[in-house]
Amino acid sequence: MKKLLIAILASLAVAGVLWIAADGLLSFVLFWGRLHSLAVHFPIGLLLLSGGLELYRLARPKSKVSEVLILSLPLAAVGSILAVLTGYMLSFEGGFAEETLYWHLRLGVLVAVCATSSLLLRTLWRFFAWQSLERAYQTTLFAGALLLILAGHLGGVLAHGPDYLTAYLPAPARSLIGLAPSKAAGSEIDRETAVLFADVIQPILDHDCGGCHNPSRKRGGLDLSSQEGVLAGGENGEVLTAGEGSSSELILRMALGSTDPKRMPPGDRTPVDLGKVEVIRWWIEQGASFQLQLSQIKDPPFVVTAYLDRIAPQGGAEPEGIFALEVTPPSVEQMEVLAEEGFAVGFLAEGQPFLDVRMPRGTKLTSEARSSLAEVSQQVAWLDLSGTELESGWTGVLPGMTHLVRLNLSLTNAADQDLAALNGLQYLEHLNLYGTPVSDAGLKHLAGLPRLTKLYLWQTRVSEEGVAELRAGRADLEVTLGETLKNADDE
Amino acid sequence: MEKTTAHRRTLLSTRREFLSRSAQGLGGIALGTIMDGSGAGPLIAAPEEGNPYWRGAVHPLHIPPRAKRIIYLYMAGGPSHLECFDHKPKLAEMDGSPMPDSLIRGEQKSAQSGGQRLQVLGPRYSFSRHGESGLEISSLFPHIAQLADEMCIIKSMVTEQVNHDPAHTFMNTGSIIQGRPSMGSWMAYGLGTESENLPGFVVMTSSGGGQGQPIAARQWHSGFLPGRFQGVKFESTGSPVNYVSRPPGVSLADQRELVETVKSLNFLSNDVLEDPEIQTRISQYEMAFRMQTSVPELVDFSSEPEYIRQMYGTEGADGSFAANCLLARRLAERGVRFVQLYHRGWDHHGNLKDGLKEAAQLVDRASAALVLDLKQRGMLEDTLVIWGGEFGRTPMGQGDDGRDHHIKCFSLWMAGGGIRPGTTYGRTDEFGYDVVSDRVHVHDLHATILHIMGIDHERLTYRSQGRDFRLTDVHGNLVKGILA
Amino acid sequence: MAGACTSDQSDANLPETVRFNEHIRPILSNKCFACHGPDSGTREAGLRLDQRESATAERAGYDYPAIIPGSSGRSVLIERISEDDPARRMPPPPREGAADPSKALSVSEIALLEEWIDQGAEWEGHWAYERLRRPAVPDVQTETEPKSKVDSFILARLKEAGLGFSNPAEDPALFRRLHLDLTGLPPTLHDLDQLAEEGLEATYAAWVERLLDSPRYGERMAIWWLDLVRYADTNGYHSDVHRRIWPYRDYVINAFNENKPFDQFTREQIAGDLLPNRSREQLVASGFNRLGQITKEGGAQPKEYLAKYAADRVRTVGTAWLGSTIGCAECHDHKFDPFSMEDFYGMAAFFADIKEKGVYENDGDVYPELTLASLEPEKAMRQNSRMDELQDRLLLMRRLGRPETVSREEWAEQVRSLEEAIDSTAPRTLVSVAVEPRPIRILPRGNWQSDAGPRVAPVTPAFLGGTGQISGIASRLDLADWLVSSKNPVTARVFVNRLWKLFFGVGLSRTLDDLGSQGSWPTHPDLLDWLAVEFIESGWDVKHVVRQIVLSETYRQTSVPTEESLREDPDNSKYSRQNRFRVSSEMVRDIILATSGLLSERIGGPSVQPYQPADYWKEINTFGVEGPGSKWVDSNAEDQYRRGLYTYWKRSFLHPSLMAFDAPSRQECSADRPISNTPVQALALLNDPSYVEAARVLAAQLLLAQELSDQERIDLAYRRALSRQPRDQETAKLMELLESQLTRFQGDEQAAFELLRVGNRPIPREVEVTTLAAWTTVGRAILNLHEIVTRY
Repeated sequence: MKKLLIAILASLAVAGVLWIAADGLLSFVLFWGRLHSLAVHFPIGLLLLSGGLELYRLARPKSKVSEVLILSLPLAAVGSILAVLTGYMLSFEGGFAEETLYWHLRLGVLVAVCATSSLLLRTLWRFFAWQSLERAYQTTLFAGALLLILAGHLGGVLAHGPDYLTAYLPAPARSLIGLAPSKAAGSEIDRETAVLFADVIQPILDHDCGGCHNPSRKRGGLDLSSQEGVLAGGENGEVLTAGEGSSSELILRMALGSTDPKRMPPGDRTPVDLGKVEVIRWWIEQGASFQLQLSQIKDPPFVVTAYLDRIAPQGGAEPEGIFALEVTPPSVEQMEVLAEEGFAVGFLAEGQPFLDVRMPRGTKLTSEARSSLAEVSQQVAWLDLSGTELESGWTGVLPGMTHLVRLNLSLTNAADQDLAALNGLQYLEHLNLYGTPVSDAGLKHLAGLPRLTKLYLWQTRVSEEGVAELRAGRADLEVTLGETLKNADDE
Repeated sequence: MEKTTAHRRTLLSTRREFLSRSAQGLGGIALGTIMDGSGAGPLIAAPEEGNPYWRGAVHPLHIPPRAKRIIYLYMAGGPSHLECFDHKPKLAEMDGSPMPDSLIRGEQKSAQSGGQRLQVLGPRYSFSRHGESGLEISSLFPHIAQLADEMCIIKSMVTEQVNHDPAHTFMNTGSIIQGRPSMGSWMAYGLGTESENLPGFVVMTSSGGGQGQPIAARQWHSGFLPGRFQGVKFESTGSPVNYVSRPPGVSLADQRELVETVKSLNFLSNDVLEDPEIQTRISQYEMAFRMQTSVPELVDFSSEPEYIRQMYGTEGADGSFAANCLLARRLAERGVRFVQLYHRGWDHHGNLKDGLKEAAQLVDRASAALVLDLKQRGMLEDTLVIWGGEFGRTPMGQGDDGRDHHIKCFSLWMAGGGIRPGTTYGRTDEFGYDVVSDRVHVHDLHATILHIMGIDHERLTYRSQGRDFRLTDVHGNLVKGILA
Repeated sequence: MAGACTSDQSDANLPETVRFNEHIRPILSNKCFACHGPDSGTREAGLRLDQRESATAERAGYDYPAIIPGSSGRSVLIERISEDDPARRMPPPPREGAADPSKALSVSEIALLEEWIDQGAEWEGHWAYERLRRPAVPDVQTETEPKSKVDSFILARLKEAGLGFSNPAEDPALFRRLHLDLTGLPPTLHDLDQLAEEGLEATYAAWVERLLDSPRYGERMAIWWLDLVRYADTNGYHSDVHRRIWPYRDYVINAFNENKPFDQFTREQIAGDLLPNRSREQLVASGFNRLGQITKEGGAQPKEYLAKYAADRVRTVGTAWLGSTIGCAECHDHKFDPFSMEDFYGMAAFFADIKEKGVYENDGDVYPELTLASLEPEKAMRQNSRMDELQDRLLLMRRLGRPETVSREEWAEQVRSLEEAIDSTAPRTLVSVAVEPRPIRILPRGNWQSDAGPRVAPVTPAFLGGTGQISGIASRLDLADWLVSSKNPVTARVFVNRLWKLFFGVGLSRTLDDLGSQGSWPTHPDLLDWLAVEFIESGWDVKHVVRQIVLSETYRQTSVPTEESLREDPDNSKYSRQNRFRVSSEMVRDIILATSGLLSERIGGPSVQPYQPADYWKEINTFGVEGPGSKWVDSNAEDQYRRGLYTYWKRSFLHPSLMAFDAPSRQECSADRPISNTPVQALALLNDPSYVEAARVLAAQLLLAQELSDQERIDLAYRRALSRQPRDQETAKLMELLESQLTRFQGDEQAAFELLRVGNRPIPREVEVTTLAAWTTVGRAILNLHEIVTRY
């Protein structure tokens, strides 16, 4: 057994020497240094366990559980020494916040000292019956465990950034310990007041880059946790050039293929979502302003709005237009009468008082039908009379329909003078007059419709001038006069 | 027949009952849908005298609809996204060189075992930007390109099935298990029909293009939904519906009387037989009767002005895709909810360059004409037009002028019905091999289409064999990015 | 529930060898797979029991594997299912208020599982690929001897669910069902009279025999076989013009009528031309290999099309005989079943010897063909009356010898011209002729242009048992032999599953085209295997299997559901009642023509062209080729009233009336037709001239029975149409219609004339026009009933 152990140790030593000889000391050191993150977990687990067991023994002196200490404490001591060694090696890799590293290293050494001495003291106490050492043993053990927590925290900060521990604290707890509310990517964004960099881009950088590029651990000399850091760049120079999104280092690194050693994040880590990259690229192309507010962006590009929709859906948007109004729903009887008069009638959607009413094509809008319609004039939001036969006087129902949003009169005999009845329909957005005898004279009645955005005038008697006059100063009014398909068959 | 009374009662739901349910929905007491929440199964509203059409299981709708009807231009065979709507200059650069290993590692074993190297095949057609939106569209589609500012191209479609028939089934029903209802049947069931005289769901296939893999009737089957929601296939030549004219000497009144007699006799035998198919048969006779008056007028293209026929590129019901598009518009005008036009001829394992040209020429003009014609009639805003196939094709060549089936990404475009116009959605990598952002799975597409129609895809369900089913099964996320 | 059964009893019932597929899988599948099955989405505790690896593996967080083969005592599975504490017992109790019954395992089920584990817990592969062996017939305790072994299997499962058979269908309903299922036609009035006299109970078996002996049986059975082999009268691709192959169709009808053993049926179709001392009939059968679509398109690439034909044959044999989706292996190894690309192309290589072209001349014939007249006249092939006549004359001339009035030269000239005339009118049919095989290569990703793949020899899928020792290169005959050999476990299963469908509307496995791992698991695997073994051991006797099914009590149950049956067996997967389903497209026509008395009983011959809408073929383009496939000419005389399966089958433009009722285009092999219910069907039944004429002819016959009152006429019509008496309300409704129509046509005689002019069959002079028109409407009402097109 012993021989075997010696053989293993010897061959390890030989391998180590050969390694150093071949690749230099640094590679050797760094290789083992990277095992630090593995090694630290042994003392963390074992030392805390030992401390816990000891506490338990204080409460229940007769318990046999503490026998486990015979095993856990020696392992904790060895583990802590190993952790210190590998940790020291890792420190050569650089890029760590100096001050934090300084304290982490020293605390780590202290932990190892405490662990080893508590082991020593315990052995003396238990096996050599130096009863007076029991207190000293306990003190060093508990001290070691406490120091370990501190050292571990600093380690976490070194590895993952300063707010590693606090990032997901609930807001009240954060304010209790004096931290600003967190701004994780995906949190609610008020599109009126939000600043593109601070509220959209910084959270992306924090979430996807912050692990390595934070004030404590500036890998490659780069800190992306603040405006200053972003502007300062890293050891290879600036990471962005305002106006040149695609060629900025920041974007380039993220866009590289996963096999490229320069790709960020490196190795097999999840690449940054392309939607996010696109947002950052767009921001750089627009001049990389740190003050630009979302509300200032005219026609935000799809990449940005799509991303915003994703992280901050506008699902619970305030009801707009007629949906903001309080209107009583129609009665069952009223709807039944409508159906009997031949209307196809239904609610626009559940929970809404508004109706979608259609008269089948080829039928006649009789006076009885009109009066049943007048009963629900407050509730009609969409009205489709396309292809029906309108008797004179039919417009009588229109002025009362103050909540009308869509009106389809296509393929009817609706005439110029009939359109006067539309005046005052302040919610009317869509008006379909295709295939009616309407002319420029009729268009004049439409000037007073504040929300009209879509107007269909194919196969009417209107002139382009008449349309131009109506559209003057109304960029949001879309008028369709007919479509042509350019002949491309001969190309 | 005591025991059948209860059964009959479920079949007969009077309009009054239906309306009062709707009104309750307002108070938030009940969902107001004909499907009640008790899981007792859907009630089938019987056709009524005078106003006999099915009003839909989702009534009122869950949300205000963006579209009221769908015209689905289904490009069967798997059009190559790389030659149609997804421009990949990198492929042209790398034409003939091997595909990067990192992309195709662990795949395509059989081809390698066949000794064939996987080589990049550059796009066979050039792309250019169109419209104010600057969408990139291939030179194969000079007419569709004119719609650039009307359409949203989804470049990140993803499916699960690599062979045609199962891929069609997946696209249409959200499952490859046979016996699930197709999308159109779900719509007809959920939304009802706006037409008293035509079926709610009409399917046509067009001729031309040289590839004639049959499209199985399963693609428009109603599955476990009542048979009346099955797609009705219209013929694309001659009269689209055979036997619509009455026998000589039989007046409309005679035929009505006959159908009424058949209906009451069927009702009588149902007392004994208790066969739900009888109910369906009765409503199909009702529909058939009404189609006898509506179809001749529907297919009479002579009422279409010459310039409209020219715009589509057809003179009449000649079996062409163009003729079907024109008929689709006429169907939409008459309230048909879901029109699905299949065009075959997109399966280019070889002869890619010429084959694509041929297929594109058969559909390009008419697809564009349909959208523009709907627009000028004011119908595009509440009609959803979908154009796409069951999967895409590989960036690697198959032979030196072909591409194989590909499911990791493909393109599809939509227009009208609340679609954000002049945009693209989702991105593929530089080879057009894989989706890199905003993946749209077939289930997501279904969820979004239902949303556009005013339906929450999680709430349109049907109980069959003790389980509630829906079009999106247990999947599906709304793709908000394509909505205006 | 479980406690009612003592373990002593169940031990006594334990089989000697417990088998996974037979005993264990059903238990696990019913009780455990929902949470411990293949679906990873619903899997609990990381345990799946459908695979040995997972079930016997150590799992994180658990002390022992669920199953330790050989030791049920240490297997946690047994511990958990027999646990007393309901909180720990598996499966967990149903949710509060859930309708599904408790899934707790019975004592005998637990005993089975224990025994299986103690015997080593062997998992088995996919059922359809396992060796076929005869399962034990379940011993069900019944008061009377089960009518058929089938019943024991069905009853065993029904009893498990606490159900039993429904009552037998009433005599007229069962009688009609039996006729429709075995002959595709309703019983005649004569049959019904006999039924009324004798009752069905005692004569049932005799009726079964009589119907199996009817020539109508072969016609009925041919329908679905023709779907499988994609029989059609046109070429399919491109211009889709006429081809001569109808004698093959008649061969199929004859084969079923003669009850040709299925192994022989298989050999003759796949390799009829290779059989020693082959007969003409066997050559005709080899036309099977020529049934696929072919092209005559000018610019088409022969190599591409030869690849298509090869793949099409593999798919067809794969589906028709193997119930598999081997077609998926054209471009890649099969994703679910163990078919490799080698299997696909190895199968294709069997057919590489068939003489054919990739692209035929547009205006030329498809060949090679066999001329039937120059051969010994075989009765079934002599359908052409003109030819019969010529041949009779020739025979007569030969027998009588040269009369003295004619010179030797003249006589020779007469004989020669007669022979020529016979030759030119003789039917010809496509057949297989073997030539030097083309090389077949594996096409990488199905790319026909590539010659890079290795050349393959004809070989059958290895996992289904190869063809074995064959000297030299395997031939189509070897393939056929293998398909029906004892090594191949699937063919018989596939076939009996399809037979079952004919009599219940669904197969024992619901996926008729795929018994592979993507197909649906049979509802009664043992019964399926039992029937398959019965099939093989009876010498592939089709009628024998049919008898097993139709004689059973299962088959004879009523199709009207009871509340209990609907509740406990909603999809009738336990067969607690009969199913009802719409009859197939051809039968819709046959039933209506038979009801009217128009139906011709002639068997076989060239396909016929019943009335078809005039503009339906308007747009077809045959590129100058004339013939039956290019222009529709309504058939005359008797040929207008032939059974549906003789309708001219143009693949790209199938007769709309057939199509309306879901007949497939037969461009591809199809094993199952969907059943739809559309307004187009209503339109066809209302307005297709065939059916209007049928109503008119029915009406005329009713009126010719002058001694009858109007009510009695309606009685008669109902008996002819629906094989039953009308109920009073039904008679009343139809009388109402009759009165109203009489008034209507008396007021408009012109309209009556117009209506009566539909169809070729002349109007009997004795009947009065307006009365006949009114009765025609009554006839139409009856022929449009749901009951007409539904088999109850």
